Amino acid sequence: MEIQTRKEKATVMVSVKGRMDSVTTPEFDKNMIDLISKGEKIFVVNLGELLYISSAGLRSILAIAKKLKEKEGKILLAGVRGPVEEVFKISGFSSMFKIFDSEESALREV
Amino acid sequence: MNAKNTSKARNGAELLVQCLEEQGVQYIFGIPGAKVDTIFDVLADHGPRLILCRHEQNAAFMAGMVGLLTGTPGVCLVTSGPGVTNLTTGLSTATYDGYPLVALGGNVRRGMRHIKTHQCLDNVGVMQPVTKYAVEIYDGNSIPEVVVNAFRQSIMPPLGASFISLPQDVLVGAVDATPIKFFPPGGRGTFSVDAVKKAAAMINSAKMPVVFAGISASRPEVTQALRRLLNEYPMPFVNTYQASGVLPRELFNCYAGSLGIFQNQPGDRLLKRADVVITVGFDPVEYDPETWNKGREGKIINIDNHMPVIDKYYQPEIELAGEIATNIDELARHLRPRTDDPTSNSLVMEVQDALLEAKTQGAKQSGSPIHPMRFIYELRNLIGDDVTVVCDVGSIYVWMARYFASYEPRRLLFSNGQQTLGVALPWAIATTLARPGEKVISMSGDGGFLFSAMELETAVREKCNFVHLVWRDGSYDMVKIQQQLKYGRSFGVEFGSLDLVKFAESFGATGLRINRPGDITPVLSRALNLTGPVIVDIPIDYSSNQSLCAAVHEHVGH
Repeated sequence: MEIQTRKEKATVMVSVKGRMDSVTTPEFDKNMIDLISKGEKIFVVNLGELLYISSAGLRSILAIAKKLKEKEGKILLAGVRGPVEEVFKISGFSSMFKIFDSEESALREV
Repeated sequence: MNAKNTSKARNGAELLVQCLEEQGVQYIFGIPGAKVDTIFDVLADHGPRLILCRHEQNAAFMAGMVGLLTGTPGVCLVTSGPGVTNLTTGLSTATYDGYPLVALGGNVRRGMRHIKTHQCLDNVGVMQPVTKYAVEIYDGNSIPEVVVNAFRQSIMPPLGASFISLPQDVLVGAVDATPIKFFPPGGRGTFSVDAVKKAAAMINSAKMPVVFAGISASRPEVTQALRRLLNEYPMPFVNTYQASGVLPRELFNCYAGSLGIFQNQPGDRLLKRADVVITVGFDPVEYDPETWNKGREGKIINIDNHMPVIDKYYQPEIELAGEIATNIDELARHLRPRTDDPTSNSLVMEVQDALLEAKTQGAKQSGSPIHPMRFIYELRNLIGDDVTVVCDVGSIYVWMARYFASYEPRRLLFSNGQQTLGVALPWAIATTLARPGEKVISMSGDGGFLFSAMELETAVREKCNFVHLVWRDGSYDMVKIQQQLKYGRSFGVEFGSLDLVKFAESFGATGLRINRPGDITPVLSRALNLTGPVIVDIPIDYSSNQSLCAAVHEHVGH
């Protein structure tokens, strides 16, 4: 898994590539928790190049969303497609999160 | 409901109707006959609205579902003899599955009960084994007492059926009594502080606690309490089929599946390994403890609003008796925050990944006839959480219970005690009455459908809006797969085909057909927007049904 972050004004843009499973997800968790502990509250997570997501990846996104909600922050997801989109539909995540076609459209929502 | 009549009753039948009005009954599901025609004569002028049915068994199914969804026991009314005996399956389903209803059955005049006469029957003797309360009325003036107690018994946990036998001369005879008002049963008491503290200590020290929700967890206040508990103290969670929808999407991290017939689900492994299982509103009839608890080493904490039945395989270490929601809230007060997260251990993730994988592979099925998993995938994506789905028994019920994710309680409903074939269509009619204006989908196999399809006439006459989906394979498949498992072959399970579209149209209903996966969403979207009942014929691919009971021991079949 490869994670890249950059800042767009008050929003942290996170790009995740590869696989989010029980082995790789802890790295995503650590990145996000570090950023949240530094005071970041608004995130756009681009999953356009994510090839696979397991329950570990889903629970991580859910846990971070809950954490951000407590801090009155939010997480927006962008570029969910292919097999990852199927898993989002099957697990009910498509109904739980606002999912945008692209980072740009997610940023407009912010 | 017609206008309430509070004037002095002219006979037993009118007093009975006044008593039903007092209990808040809105509908009576009935079939007429000479022994009870006095009641019908009263209903022509006032009282609950009569829904004329085509078979007594279905009238009982409808009454039970109205009872569950409204909280006021549903009422069915039948005549003597076969009218009463035809109720037995409906009442046993209500009592074993937890559907509250009060059934009224006619009988011959009291003076003829001792001789073998037309339709004379020991009604109470017939009904006692399948009800919680069965009484024959000997004096018209006792009607108010019997009615009020029948209603109270029906809604006292565990929910079930009451039966009142009505000799013809009691109904036509003069009476002086007046109705007794509705008396809601008192609360089930509060928690025992000591027991709650012991339970909390056991959970606090557990390595892998698992919450196992049963039928009473679907009571609205219990669902809310459980959600609060798991938000604060996440634990792995499994449910019986009748507790589908207790967890919302937001508690995905806890969810490990629906468990029931055939002990071969990923969640069963979790249950086996749990060192503490917290059963919440669980009725052993939903999932035999012999199946899931035999040889298991972990302890059980039982939270319920009535005493559990103890058997060789179900012996809880601690019982939290009383109001379930109150006990859960109090338990939460004594739980300690954990350093570990019991929902993120490797076994829980394995279980969740196995469920995701099964559904993902199912979504890819593209052949015709349609694979059950593809159908379930399309249906789940099409309808909202507020649609009620009622499902018949058969292989369809195993597929739906395991893989159709429901996120609100009592929105995915099954017969899981008696596993009674034919419930779906009558339940759909009842749901349209109990939840007016809401979308309703019922589902059955082609075996179960013809057990109660005559009620399509009732549905058309009552202008009920629902969509009934029939998975058609031409066999009693759930029996077939078990025969194949046990004997390596099947016998007496194949039947002929019929044109379900023409069948529906002959009743004045709409008939549609889905042949290919690509048809599922457009046809169902159209069906859900039509007026009146719609029957949808779906040739189904049951070629992988053997997997439903794969790795099952012989004794766990049904």
